[in-house]
Amino acid sequence: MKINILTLVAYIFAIAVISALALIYEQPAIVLFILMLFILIPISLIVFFNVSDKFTFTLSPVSEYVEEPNSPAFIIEYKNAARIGLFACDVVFTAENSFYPNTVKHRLSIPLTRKTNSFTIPIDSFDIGLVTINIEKFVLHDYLSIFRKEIPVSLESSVPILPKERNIGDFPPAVPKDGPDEFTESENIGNISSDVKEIREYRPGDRLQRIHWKLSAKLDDLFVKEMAHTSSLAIILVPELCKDEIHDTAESLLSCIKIMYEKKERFEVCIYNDIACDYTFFTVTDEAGMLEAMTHFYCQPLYEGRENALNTYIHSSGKIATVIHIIGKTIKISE
Amino acid sequence: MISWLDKIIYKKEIKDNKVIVGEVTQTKKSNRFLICLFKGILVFIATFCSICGLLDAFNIEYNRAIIILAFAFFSFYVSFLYYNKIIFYVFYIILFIGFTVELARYYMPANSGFQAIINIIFKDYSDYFALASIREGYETIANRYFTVTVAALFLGAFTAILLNVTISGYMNAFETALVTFPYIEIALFIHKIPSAAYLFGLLFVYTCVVFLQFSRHSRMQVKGKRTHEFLRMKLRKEDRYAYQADIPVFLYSFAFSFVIALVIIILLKAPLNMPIPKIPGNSIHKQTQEYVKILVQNGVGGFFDSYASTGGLSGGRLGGVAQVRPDFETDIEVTFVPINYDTIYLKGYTGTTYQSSGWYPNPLDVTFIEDEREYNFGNTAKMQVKEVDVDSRFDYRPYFSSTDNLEYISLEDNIYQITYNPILSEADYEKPVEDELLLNEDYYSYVYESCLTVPDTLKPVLDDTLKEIDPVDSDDINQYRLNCAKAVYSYFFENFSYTMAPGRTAYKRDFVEYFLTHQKRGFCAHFASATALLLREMGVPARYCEGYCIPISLIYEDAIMTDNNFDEWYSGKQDIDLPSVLEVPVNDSYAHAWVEIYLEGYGFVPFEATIPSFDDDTSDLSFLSFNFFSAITSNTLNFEEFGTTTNPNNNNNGGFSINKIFDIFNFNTANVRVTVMRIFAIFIGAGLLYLLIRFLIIRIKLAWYRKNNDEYHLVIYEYSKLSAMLKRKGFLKKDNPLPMDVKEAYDLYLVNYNNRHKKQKNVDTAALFEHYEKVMYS
Repeated sequence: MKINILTLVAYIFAIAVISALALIYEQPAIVLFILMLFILIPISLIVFFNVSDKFTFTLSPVSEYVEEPNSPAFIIEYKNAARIGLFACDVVFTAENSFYPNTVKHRLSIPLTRKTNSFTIPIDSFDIGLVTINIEKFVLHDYLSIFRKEIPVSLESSVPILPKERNIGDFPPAVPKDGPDEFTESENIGNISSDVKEIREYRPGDRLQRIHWKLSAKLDDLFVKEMAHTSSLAIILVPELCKDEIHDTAESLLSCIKIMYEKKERFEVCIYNDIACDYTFFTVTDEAGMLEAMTHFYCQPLYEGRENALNTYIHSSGKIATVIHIIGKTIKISE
Repeated sequence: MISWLDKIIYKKEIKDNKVIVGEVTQTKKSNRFLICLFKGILVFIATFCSICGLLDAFNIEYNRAIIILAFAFFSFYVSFLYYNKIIFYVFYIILFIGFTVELARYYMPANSGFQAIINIIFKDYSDYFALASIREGYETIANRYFTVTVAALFLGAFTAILLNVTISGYMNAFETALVTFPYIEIALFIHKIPSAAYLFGLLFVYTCVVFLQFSRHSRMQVKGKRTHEFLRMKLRKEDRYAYQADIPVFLYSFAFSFVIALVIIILLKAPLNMPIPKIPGNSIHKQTQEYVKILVQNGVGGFFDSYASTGGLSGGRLGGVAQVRPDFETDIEVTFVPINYDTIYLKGYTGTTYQSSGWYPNPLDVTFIEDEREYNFGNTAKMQVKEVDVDSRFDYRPYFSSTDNLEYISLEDNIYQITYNPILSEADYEKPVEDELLLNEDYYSYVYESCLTVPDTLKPVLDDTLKEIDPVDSDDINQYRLNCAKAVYSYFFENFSYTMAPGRTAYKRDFVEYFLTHQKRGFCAHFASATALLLREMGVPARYCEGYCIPISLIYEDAIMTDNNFDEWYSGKQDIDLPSVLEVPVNDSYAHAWVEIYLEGYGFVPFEATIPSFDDDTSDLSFLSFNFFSAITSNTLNFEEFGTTTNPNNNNNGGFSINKIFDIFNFNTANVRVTVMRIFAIFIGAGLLYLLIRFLIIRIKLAWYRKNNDEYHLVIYEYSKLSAMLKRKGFLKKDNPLPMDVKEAYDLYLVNYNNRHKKQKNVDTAALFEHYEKVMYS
């Protein structure tokens, strides 16, 4: 428990001034008001001691994702196990868009007077990206705001803001007949194979559909099925996280993904990380997959270059597929 | 969506971070109507208890039912202005228009009622302070019951509007007290205690507002805010947001405040009624009382000076200052040999012609003739005066000296020396001889015409006053003149009082007339002027003088011994054992006014007209005494009663004393101090009792656990005790430590302990904490 020195000093100063007036002007009636100020402190403190550790807090997003220009919102909920509530609680949190990191702290003061209540915090966002809210601590105040108790927490919640879908014409484009040999020679073009090539441990970024639930349940750990067809995909979308055109790129990527999975095309999205010079593949077959891919896309660092992802992919990947390179509004098949 | 205003305020954040926090909403919303209602209740109680508390304290009668209904209406009207923006703007305008129109319609009864309230209050104040008169307002309507009710209605409406700002708008306890407490303080200042119900109401409101203010969830902004429920602020590195008014906060505050106010009122019923003496025990209280007296007697105009009043000589100007405010800076430095305990007067200005605005020199100046008068008291003294910060138009000469005896040592520094003939207290003086100066027609005319002139307009007042003054008759003309002076002094002594702050003379009123008929309080200029005119009316030639006085106490405290040769500065008998030439700094608080009376054979001699003050005010001049007469009367005229030579042991003086700093703590009202001490003792006692009870409860609980073999609670107790000890000693720094953290800290503590002490502590912490965990998580 900490003391708000300024408030305490101001409070004591007020008592001192009133006491001085009572003494100087010899008026016992003013003693009433001194007594009132004195009594408030112990009452406030006793309640605070008994109530301050009876609260539990949760944080959750209102929706899994939002589409531009809508903004995400988060819900802070508290439960009070005590009979009496507290008047003031500061929620100290940071809110940021993954593309525009910032460390500005926000302090939201809420009353904790009921058994349970929830507060919706909308984060007005002016660009696409992954909006994350991270609550660092709750600061509970006594009735006079003289004493405070800080409860450090680490509650985090994120919501991706998706761009609006754009009309990108005829997509996917017709595969050129004189396309890459690997592509034409592939045996499983456009079909999804159900053959399990191997089973490996779950890694972040793996899709839920791939989890081998039976095995995971037996071994008490998550395992993922590596499918045989992953090495012979039809289409790979390679978006560039180019700083200048990230909005258009995201818009194009989302449009491509939506069209593709609505047409039940078989494709993967290759999200590139410029710092690690690594990429992650996402097979999208539904909205959840799309959300997963876009969230991952939002979490990557931006860069200046215009072909970093494409070059890295072409030079290091052994996958045989048509590569669709997305940068800004440009969507083109890469040779 | 955020507003355009926020878009401007958060322009940088929007550009850089692309996110800002929007308007927070809560699921269980507070009802705005109820919040307005609660605030209305607070405004009503505060308005009712302050205004009706005041009226009841002074037993002023009014229609209580109408007042209660009207106050309730005003309070709820203004508090519901905050219901929403439209209501706020529309009904605020209606309120002000309505208030103005009604005030214009009921101006006469409202004004009359207001004057009635003021008159009643001033009457009680006048009785309390024993003032001669009050500034009475004119009541056009005689029916006080009606007019007071109307005035109270307007006062209530005005107060409710102010309280609505302090309570509904800002929820600020200090401002709320500032609006309401002055009403009650008017009564409390003269120890009129309002009914406990009103004090309870005010206490309830103040307590409630303190809680609500600190709760930070009581305000409902309308004006200038884009939302009613949410507030955002930008503070240095943080953005702050607050969800505003919350109903449970109000409910909690009301409940707590009710209980607290009730307890306080019950506890302090007795001290409220304890008797308190009227005479204040400290200078601040005394000074405030002086201001109050000015207000009661002279009205607000009494406070405004028409010329500066920083002490020193006024040059004969009268009535323009509300209060004498000396700056205590040295005005003159006087070097001389003290010869007795009498106060030394240094005359600077002589006023002969009286007008309502002051004393002026005679158009035909004949005072230079007086320089020819010779005095022989068997001694000769020299005095040096250095003018530091005084009106350089005047020379400051001691009695008795002439301008011929004045010699400038340094014109640049305004230093001059005067040879004079001081009066000894017990010297044998020759009988007075006929004043040869009167042979000069001009001087005769000056003494017996100019110094007897009284303005015709003042004659009725002076004659009325003289009806109460009865001087002892005497065949000896000088004796008679001194008898007159004595009678005037006695009259003032019995009926008037001395004060440094009598208030300014009212507009278009004569200074002496206002003093004699209305004020009956004043400082030296008042007494000297009135005495001079009364003496003139009685046929005694008298004139008004201003200058500086040097009491013996000032010599004892501030005099510096000089290297000057004593024999060069004084020759003759000395009634005081102080054979040194002293330098005395004289500050402006020693500026003074007195009267000179013409005595046959002696000429004009000083007469101290100012009555002593019974206060120990630092700047009053009550220490002055009739030193000249003590010398003259004891030897020649035999007026022993006047011979009240200043006692050097009397420390009432204008100098600085460290004790004066502590004067404000020197209370006559020991009861107040006792009460405050008692309250502190109760609090300390209550704290100790709380600790004792807490200790006993823990012990009883432990005994109970042991009896019932409640291992779980015993372990919890021991574990929390151990954690608290480790945290207190700094071994445990985590806020929410796990048992393993506590164990680690305990190990560290044991190692530290064993290193420092011979007696070793051997604890199997592993086993202990295994046991703890087993029991706690079982």
